[in-house]
Amino acid sequence: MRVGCYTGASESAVTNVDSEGGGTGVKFNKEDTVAGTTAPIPIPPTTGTAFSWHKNLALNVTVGDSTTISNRRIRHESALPTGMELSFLGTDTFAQSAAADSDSGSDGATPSGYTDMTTSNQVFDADGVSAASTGRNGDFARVALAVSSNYGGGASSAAAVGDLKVVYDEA
Amino acid sequence: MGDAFVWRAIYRDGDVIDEFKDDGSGKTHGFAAIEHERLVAFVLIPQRPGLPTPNVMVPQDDPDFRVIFFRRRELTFSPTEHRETAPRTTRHVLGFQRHVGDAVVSCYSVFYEDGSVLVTDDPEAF
Repeated sequence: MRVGCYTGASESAVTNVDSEGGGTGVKFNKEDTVAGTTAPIPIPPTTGTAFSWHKNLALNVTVGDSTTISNRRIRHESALPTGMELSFLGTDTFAQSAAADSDSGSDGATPSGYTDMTTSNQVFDADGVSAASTGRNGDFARVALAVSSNYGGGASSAAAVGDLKVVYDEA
Repeated sequence: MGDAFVWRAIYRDGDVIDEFKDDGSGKTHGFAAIEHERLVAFVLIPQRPGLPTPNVMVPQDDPDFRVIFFRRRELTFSPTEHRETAPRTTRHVLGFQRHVGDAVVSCYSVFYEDGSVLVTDDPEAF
């Protein structure tokens, strides 16, 4: 089982973003790439929140089995720096990466329809889906990063958002 | 490292279904393959020394009784640094669901990889 990031106009392009057996990391940006750096998220110069384009994360079965996967959840391991917030939206519909929402004029905003990620597990898809076939299993967690004007880390393409945990039940 | 437990389902008529098929293929049966109405016992067989052999005996006078089993798997990764920052973990969960009056009650025994056990009625407690 891997965690995949799906890019492109259809969900056919998947890059595994955990490290097992290779893959690549995710950079939250304003482009439809897994880790591109040509369109970074600007830190708002005045009160406001800028949103990344969403990353389509999902469980990716690499070896089929007779089990069923359910109760997919996500959380971050520790709170992000002040002025940064991750949020997610669970959906079975693929949407090519785009702005999670229009940038906000308030600090600490969350994209419409998204839920702030916390350090507690939050379900993005509870349904049971057979793991017999390789490929995406269950819904996407569209994940977006919000950067507010009060983020004090300064400009950098290497600002770390901390560890993510993906939890699921298999039977 | 493989899972700490594999399961075995035992039917009233003596038939047995093991999680791993006995054809040497390494393929498994899913828990969904079990015919619960035939079940008399469900056993977790430890794959490492020092672990218990948990089991649920199915009361034959309670048609609503259901064995619960799943593995709760967790992976931790740094999306920006591209590395898994902790070993993947698996908790084996064995329990049952039954009717008590009009209520449906569930009980879960959670077996951690270090051998510790948690018993709870809250599926979000582990």
